[in-house]
Amino acid sequence: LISLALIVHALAAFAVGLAAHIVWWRAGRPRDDVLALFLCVVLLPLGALTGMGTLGGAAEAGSHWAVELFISGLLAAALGCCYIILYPGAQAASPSMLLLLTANRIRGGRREELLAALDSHALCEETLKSLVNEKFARLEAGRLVPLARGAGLVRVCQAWRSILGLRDGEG
Amino acid sequence: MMTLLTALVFAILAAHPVCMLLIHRALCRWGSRAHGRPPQGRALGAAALTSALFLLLVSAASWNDEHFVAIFLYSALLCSCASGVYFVMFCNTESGRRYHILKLLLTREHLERGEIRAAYSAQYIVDKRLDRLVQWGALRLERGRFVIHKRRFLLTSLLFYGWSRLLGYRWFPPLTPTGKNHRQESKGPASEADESSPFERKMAA
Repeated sequence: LISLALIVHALAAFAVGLAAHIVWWRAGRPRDDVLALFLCVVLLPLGALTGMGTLGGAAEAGSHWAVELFISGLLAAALGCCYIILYPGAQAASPSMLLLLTANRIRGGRREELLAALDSHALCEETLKSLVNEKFARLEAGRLVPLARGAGLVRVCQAWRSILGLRDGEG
Repeated sequence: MMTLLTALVFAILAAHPVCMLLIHRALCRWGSRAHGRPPQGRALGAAALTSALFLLLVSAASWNDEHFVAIFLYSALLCSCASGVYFVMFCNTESGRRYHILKLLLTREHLERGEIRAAYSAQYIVDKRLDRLVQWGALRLERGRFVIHKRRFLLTSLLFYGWSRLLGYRWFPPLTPTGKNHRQESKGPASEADESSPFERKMAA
């Protein structure tokens, strides 16, 4: 049942989701990035695939419609999830990427020069903002308090690292 | 109805993440003596090894099928997505700011923004990241200066930078040939500089 046509459908649906994401972000960035991204690159492609199948009359014509929707939907959702995981790299500039771009721009730099090019305010601020916006933590009288979502994320990651037998990363 | 082959392919693919974790665990235990190597390398190795192994299994199961190319391509895409998610998530637990700040909040309760910035300062971040980039071979230390060594890391950064610009994010403003940023050049130097972040102002300088 897996065919090239289904792969093309999944890729096209994902491309529609990405296009919607770009248009939305350029028009005005949403407050809760993760939720909006999930809507754009997972739910919208799945909706598009369902719509394409329904409009194409696939539901009536063949008994494989549901399976084909599952096959193409799974691929589109996997691509969407992968994008959601990669997205923070573009949203909150990774310090490693900033260091590489700066070293390239100034044709090699000393530790102090690279440090001067970065700012702890800029490095932390976007992340702090997104932690609050995405409900991982909340601001309470000027102090940050972790919420259940944030605590859960940390516990899952710590359990994962303990299965691997690794001590905590050092940032 | 789902054919037997499709069901078999999905059964193989469903086992992929669990096997990736087990292979990663084995690599971590085995490689624990290899000091000085970045742990992300073992995560990448586990992801690549598991994907190669599972693609071999899928190929063996569907070799005689008329849709072999499609099945292989589909499996390769799914394995790449699973590997990508696994690797990036692992990197986040190793050096991700979001994870480290949340961990800081859980261990030292109710921190103010300034205290977080102090605990997770630019000095600390730059020191850790520079050491890691040298370990990875992305940068090379040459007479006290960090210079680009392997260009594929720079190309990845440029790709992310390009994508962030497409989405409307601004890591730092582009410089014109005169050395000023676009905002300064088009709207006057003093007034518009105040709109940008301290980081942007430093980069523009």
